[in-house]
Amino acid sequence: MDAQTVEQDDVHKTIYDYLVEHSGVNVSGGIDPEENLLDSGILDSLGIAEITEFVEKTFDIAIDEDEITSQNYRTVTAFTAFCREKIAASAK
Amino acid sequence: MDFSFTPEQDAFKEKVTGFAQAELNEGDLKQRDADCVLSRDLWKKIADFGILGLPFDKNYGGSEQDIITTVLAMEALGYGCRDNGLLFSMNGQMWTVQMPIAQFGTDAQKDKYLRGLIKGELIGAHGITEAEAGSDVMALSTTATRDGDDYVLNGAKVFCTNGPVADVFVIFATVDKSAGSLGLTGFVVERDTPGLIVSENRKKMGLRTSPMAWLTLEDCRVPVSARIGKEGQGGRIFNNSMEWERASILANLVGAMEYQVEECIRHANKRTQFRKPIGKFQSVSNRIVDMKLRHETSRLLLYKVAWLKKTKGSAAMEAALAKLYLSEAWVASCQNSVVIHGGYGYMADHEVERDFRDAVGSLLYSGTSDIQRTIAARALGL
Repeated sequence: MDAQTVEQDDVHKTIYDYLVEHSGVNVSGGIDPEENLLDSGILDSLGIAEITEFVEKTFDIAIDEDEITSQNYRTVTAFTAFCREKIAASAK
Repeated sequence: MDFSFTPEQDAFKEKVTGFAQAELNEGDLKQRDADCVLSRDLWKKIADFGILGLPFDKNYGGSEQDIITTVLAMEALGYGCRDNGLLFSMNGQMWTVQMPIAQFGTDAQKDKYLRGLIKGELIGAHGITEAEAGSDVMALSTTATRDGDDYVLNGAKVFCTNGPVADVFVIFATVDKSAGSLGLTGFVVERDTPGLIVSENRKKMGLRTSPMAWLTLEDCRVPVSARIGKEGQGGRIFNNSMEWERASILANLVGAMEYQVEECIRHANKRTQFRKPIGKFQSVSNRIVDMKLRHETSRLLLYKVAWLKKTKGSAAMEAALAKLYLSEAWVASCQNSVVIHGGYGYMADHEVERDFRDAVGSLLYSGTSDIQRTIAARALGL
């Protein structure tokens, strides 16, 4: 596994672990990568603000308010991809 | 640390206090309260003085004051004006109608609505709360379905302040239920839009001079140009409004608490029992000291929120703590005032009784005490 893959897996794991710990609803059975976080209550309005602050600090990225959209936050897969893009952009 | 304001801010606060005392207590408030009527004359006076435009763009009739100056003006209004409902309606319009349009609206929306609202020629109302979406307001079920160049709104709203007299409404609906709070979207809806049904004034325990309606939206068709900001921005628009509203409505309460303490001192020094003023009894004087302590601590919390909003841009937890504390302090202060005034304080023709009724609403509007605790607990990592 190359360094980039390890880093990408870390992004996914960090987000997944955060969501499991801070979910607004019971997710003891885990979260499917394609589960709708917004519809299921895993990310309510406060949760969206909190996870945004969390990834900004953890990954040293800045998320514009216009980027807080249902497309970017809907699933673990989509949010991980969005964060990876932000990390890559900030590294340039 | 410096707790002082600029000479200009102090002078402006004094000017607003004088205006409120001289101009906003005209007419028969007892009768308006009994009839549940908003005074359009006083509304126009507030607009003519420039209050409705305080923090807004000069291009639309505002004066571009910062939040601290705005909060001081609101505190002065609370101190000088006895019509709590009038001030409640004013705040409802400024922060939940004018502010969304000012910060997220198009130039055309600002031209068409903001200018008239600031001038007092239009009255605005805000529709977000629903029967099954109160504290959990982001779970609202009113839908906005795109149809060509229009949106079609369907749903029902409750607790719409100013609704019975409003010319224009800012209404929130979801464009995508599966997107949760990120589906919320704001719209400007004019009163005569077909499909918008406004109920008659709903009677309340207090704040009766601030009219309130229920709204029904039945295939209410608005053009895309009525959308405020982008699709899905409604949650952000609403949260921003709430931070402004909480700071400003609370400022009214701080001013009202200050007036109430002074009024209780006057009464306690004047009213004699057992051959001495009742203020000489520790049971009374201690109660007034407690009122003063609540007023001072409330003011500090309020100013901190204003300062954070000005310097950091956001103060979600602090605004929640201030809302929680001030509203409960205002109710406690009113209860103390009733007790200090004895049987007279309980009588319906006395403003002490009206203040108490008005105060209870503060535990509910702009987010209940329970939801403020929830917000603060989440911010603390609980």
